Amino acid sequence: MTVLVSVVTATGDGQDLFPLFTGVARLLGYLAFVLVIGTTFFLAWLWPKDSVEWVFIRLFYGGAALMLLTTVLVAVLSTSGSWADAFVGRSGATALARLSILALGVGFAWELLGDARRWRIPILIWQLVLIESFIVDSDAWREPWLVVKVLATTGHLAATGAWLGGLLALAAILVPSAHLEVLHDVLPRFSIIAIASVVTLVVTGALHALAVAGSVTALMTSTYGVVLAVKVIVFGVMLLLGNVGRRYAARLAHRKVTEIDESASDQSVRVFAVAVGAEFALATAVLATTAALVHFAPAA
Amino acid sequence: MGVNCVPRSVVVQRILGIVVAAVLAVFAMLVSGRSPSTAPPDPSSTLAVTPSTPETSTSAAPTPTPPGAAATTGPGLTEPGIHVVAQSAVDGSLEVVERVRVGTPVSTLLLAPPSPRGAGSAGATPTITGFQAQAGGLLVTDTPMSPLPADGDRIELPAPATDITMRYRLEGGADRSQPAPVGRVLILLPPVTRPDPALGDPAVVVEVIGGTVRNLVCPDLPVSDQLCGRQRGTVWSTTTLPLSRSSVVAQMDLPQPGAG
Repeated sequence: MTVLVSVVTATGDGQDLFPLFTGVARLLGYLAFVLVIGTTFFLAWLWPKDSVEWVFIRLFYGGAALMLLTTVLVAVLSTSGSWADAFVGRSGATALARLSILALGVGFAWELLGDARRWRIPILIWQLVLIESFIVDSDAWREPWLVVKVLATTGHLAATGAWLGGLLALAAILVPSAHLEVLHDVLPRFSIIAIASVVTLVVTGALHALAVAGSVTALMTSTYGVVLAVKVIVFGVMLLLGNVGRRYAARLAHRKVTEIDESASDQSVRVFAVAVGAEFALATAVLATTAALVHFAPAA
Repeated sequence: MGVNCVPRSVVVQRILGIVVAAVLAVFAMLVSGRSPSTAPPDPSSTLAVTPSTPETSTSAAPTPTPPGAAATTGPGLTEPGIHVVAQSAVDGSLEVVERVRVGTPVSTLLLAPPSPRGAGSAGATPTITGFQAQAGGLLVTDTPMSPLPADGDRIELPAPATDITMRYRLEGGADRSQPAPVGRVLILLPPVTRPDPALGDPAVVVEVIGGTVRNLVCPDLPVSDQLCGRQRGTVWSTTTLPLSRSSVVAQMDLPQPGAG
């Protein structure tokens, strides 16, 4: 990790590239967040079987490792490569607190992954605390409208984790076409989660953007507003393409998309997998614009 | 995966997780009260333009500023207003850090050079060079016109911001007094920020470092308040001024060429 930071520091020195590297690290951090929160949410609330698949264990540990790496990278890069300043003050304390919560999750991965349905409430609390570790050091944790922004951002991150994590977990089942029988239970539940998440994302996103910008005029006339508009457009395209893909898969399977399972044709399952994969790829673009928004967010 | 038949490796993993989590939590608590090694505002330091949001909202009551150091609390720093630190060079130019802090985000800033006021400074023709600015953590790419017109120029900020930090060199603002002791000048001091409807008329404090300041005069104030300078060690600062009446003239002896 030190070598990686040294390379980035050497490249960034004199070229003012630290914001770019920080943005990339932040984007990877969001992906890690989706992997960790999404996988545990999926297993706790959507996965119908008692046994857990290896793919979910890999997704969780991969996400945890990526979160460790990106938390350290963002902390160090935000202080222009200074390790001495990286873990000092509120930002440093928040980063360490996040790693502490993550360590607790990895330590109890047995319950988190293998027995998730029985431990739903502790897992939910753990997820909320992890989400707050992202919020405390964000532009949401500032007056004015602190409570509104914190609630909106908490809802926004929870919905992001649940939805995108669900998409990823679905892709993990659909792409290898393994255990398609679980789709019969998973898809109707995920459909409700997806709709609730989209509504939550739209409402909380609008509230947060207004609170951060200060006014509609400020939102419309700032760079922050432009980047937000790009995010909304990509988000809209993501919803549209996802819908087209799902409808096409349903037409091929001659049934509703939520009823696709192991009895559906291979072609319809493949199309459905591609639609889910494309939706997740566009979600990555949304996360990238979110990382950019952090850079353009006006300070309170 | 039942709880009753937990393998030993899982128990070890749990213990390790708890220990690591506890150690990290303790470290988090320890470092939360500490500040980064970033120096307080100082015109000779490039760190002064770092737009770090002062962590004053969570800190205790403001600490008194030590003699010889620029203020760390007050308008433009911990409360809405403008804080200016100007350090004089041997040629009478000033290296300036100007911090603007407002309650409601602004997306533009009107800048104008300080205008000559009163006897003795009429010959001054202040200009700004080497202008740099950051707003809410973002670099400001718009730069003011050069030379800056007397009625001002408006710069666009990259996003609405409540914290704007500018650093620039103010040249031509010094007028050598005649006859006078060697090195004595009258210097027009910033701010260069001008009142406008979005900004309002915030409070301003100007601090001067370097050279030997004799006094500070605020010609726009009522006569009884015009001697507006207060000395604190080697730092002179004005009383709190409204931006609309923030003209400040310093009478000072410039640093000797070659002096450290």
